[in-house]
Amino acid sequence: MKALVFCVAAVGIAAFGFSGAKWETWFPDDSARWNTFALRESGLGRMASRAMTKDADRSWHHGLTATSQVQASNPLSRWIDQGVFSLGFQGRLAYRPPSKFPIRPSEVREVLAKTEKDLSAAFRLDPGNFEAYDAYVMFLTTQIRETEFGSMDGQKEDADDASSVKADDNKDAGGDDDDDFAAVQRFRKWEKEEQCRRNLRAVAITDYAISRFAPKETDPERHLGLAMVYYNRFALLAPDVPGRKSSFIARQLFETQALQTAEKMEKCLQNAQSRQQSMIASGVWENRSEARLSDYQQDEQMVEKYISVLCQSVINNRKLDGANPASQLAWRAPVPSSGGTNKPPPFGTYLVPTKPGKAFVA
Amino acid sequence: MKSIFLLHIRQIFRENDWILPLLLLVVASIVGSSLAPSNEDPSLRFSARTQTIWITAWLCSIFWVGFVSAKLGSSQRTKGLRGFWKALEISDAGYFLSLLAIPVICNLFIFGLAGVLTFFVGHTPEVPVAEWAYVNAQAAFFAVLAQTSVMALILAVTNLLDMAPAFTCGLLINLYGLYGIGAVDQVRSGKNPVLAKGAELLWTVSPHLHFADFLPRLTFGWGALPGKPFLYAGLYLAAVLLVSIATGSRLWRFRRS
Repeated sequence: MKALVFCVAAVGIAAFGFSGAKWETWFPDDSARWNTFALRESGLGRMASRAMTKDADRSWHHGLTATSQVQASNPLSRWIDQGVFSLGFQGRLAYRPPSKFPIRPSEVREVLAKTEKDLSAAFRLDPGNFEAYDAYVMFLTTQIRETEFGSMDGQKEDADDASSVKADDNKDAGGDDDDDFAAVQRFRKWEKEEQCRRNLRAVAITDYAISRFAPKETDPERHLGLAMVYYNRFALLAPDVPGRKSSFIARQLFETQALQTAEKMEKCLQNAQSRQQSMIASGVWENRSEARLSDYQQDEQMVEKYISVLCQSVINNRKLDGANPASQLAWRAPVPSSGGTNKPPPFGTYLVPTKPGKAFVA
Repeated sequence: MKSIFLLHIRQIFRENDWILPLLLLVVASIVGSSLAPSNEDPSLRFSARTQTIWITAWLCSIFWVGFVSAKLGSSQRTKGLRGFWKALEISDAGYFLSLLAIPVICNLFIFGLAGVLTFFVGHTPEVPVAEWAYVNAQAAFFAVLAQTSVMALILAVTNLLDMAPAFTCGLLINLYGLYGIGAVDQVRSGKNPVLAKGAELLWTVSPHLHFADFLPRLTFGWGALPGKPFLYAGLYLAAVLLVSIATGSRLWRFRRS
């Protein structure tokens, strides 16, 4: 009885304390309430994000990649490898080659979900990490039917990729496997819905990456990354060529968006250059490896090129209108300061090759 | 009661297990900065050290102190000490509290050391020293309060279960109270009204041990918790501790095996 009274009194105190603590107000507005070990957006999170995006190739192949062959150096290691292989741990491509066992729609869905989960986790850990963002956006904007499923096993037969699997399944549909045909139909429907969801997600994560960028960021590479995020946002949202051909408003919208994006990119570029200068002055810049310095220079040139591409796209857009484009262009593309050629780069982002952006076909 | 406490605390020190968390915390303070890209952003050096030290402290508390509590409680029955102390007419509640003081000391040692190490190696120059010391003291105080309630339950459960299940119970309570409850929070703001109501109820009755998790506050430099919420949250955690001690004392009652 005494313990019960004691407990009731303690529960009352707990309720009083709980109501007064107002835990929801403990966090700054832009911070996540649930952040296990404070990993997201922390220094340790940055490192984890980098480690998780090292294998960006995996996302290109939507998770179905062949495992690298390890050269066993001693009999024990060889023995262990044999045991691992005998259990099928060498992966789907080696264990059940797509040429003999076609990849099923259910597998496609499974690897897509798994890969997206991994990429999403890496991005959430460090939204300012352009590699993590870019790998995720690339994954989201790649057409599902255009993936290179199974191509890593060294065979280029039609049976290797998902689209051909679907084609094969269609051929078989009238034959002995009605279940397969139904599965493929369901997959097609899912594919359409999934692509729509992915496009929306790509825009959402792009906005998130922009909103989470810390203006005080001292690393110039991150400012260049932000410039490319702006570019990607434009590529995702700008009106496409048929729309612009048919609509004056679409052309105006495109121009406004392109110029605003170019201005933002230019500002990011200036921020990166000023951060770089201060790092050079403090001696921190010299501590970076040659490879990183080279990468930085390439990235800087690439941002400059993309700004030029935006400017060129505005001119091309005005040609659709029949107006004299050059005379009306108030904003001018910057001349590359770091040796850029101003030659339009391949479409997509600059760290990993992506599919052409729909906005710059004209 | 004092002799029960002294007997077992000496035993803990003799076994030298405590060297492991001490070593881990010192290593965390040394290697913490290299776990983040602090060569690119030197300001990350301090926050990474702080984060590493406090993560290590929490893991040491959850695993090592949890293990110590389970082992301590379990040994009372396996070594026949329950009957011995009973014969000396020591009350169950007194016996329980004397044993509970040992995990409290262990947690004080871990979180106190984490606070001291963070104060010296994780201090960002922009933050005033007094504020940094205050926020670390707040973090250590809340962490000890929250972990003591879990350790009380582990200790009490060993009267009914073996060491491994008792330790697992504590681990699960810790994981739920610190992180799992985040899922409940998300469900209660969901669109399904039935699930949301259920989650709201669960949210109300669950132990909110995450109040004691100061890792984001320390890592991202949000500063000390203001006095009023600190007082209320302290009251809440103290009340949770009282409930777990009351429940624990009840579970700890002498029974013949």
